[in-house]
Amino acid sequence: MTALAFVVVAAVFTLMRAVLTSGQPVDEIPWRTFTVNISGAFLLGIVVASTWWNNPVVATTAGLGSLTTFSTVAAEAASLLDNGCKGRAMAYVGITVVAGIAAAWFGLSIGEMS
Amino acid sequence: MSRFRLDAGDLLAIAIGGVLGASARWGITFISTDATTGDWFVSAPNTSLTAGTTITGSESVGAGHAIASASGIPVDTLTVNLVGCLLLGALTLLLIRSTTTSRRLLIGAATGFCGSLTTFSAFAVEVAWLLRAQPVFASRPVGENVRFDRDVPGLALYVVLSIAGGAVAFAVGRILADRFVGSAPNPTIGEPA
Repeated sequence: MTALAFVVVAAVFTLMRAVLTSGQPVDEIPWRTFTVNISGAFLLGIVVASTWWNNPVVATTAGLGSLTTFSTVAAEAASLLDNGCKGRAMAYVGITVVAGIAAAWFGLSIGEMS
Repeated sequence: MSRFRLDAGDLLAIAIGGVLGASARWGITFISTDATTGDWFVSAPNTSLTAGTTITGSESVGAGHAIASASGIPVDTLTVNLVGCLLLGALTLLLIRSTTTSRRLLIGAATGFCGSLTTFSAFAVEVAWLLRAQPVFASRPVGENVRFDRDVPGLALYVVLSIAGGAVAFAVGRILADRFVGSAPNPTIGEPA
């Protein structure tokens, strides 16, 4: 049952990411990928810090793990570099890391209240 | 990551790739976790604390409780992220040179498999968690009386290895694909991924 839930949730969250992040311009900061990653980090913070979620592997590993992506950030930064947008590539990676950690911290704080 | 319009077949390929990627990530996490703690961090008994001591952010230590301090680099997340960047570097180059028949497979492997194999949320939460240096995961047995050391050098190393390592892995993947596949550009299909 857990295995089936894992497969379904992983498929659904992967598709959500694919649809939400497809078709972004290659020479601008991909804000939709940024939004998906930061939201996922925030939600994962809530789930892992919550005491009421006993077996979160489907929600965390299959769901939010598949929703967010690390390799796409690298690909998008490389794409920005290829298109001559060095500053945007650096800014994109920098704000993704800083905002992601801040969002995760905020999520952990909220999760601990539950 | 791609400007291609996704059709139903692409979405199916992405979904299958996503399930395989998430499963592979789960497998790597599973084999790299410590059997005794069930988690990735290094947990060492701390004999300097005695029963009755109150640990910051935690309940007082019971007589029968194991006392441990935890720190370390989440090697499982680091591994999946670096491997995923390497693979995606190769795949983006192959996508540029793909034909219509192989394009769907490559999209499934890139957006689906690599996208879901790698994860940003775990990276962010792990860094935030270790920065906070206090127990979370309270629902797990290990959450009790485990003190999380704020290991700033280790954290900085983790962040640098992830970001710089990811960039290097992506570049290496692209170079390797270029070397082994050779140049066979298809200008009618090719588009920067």
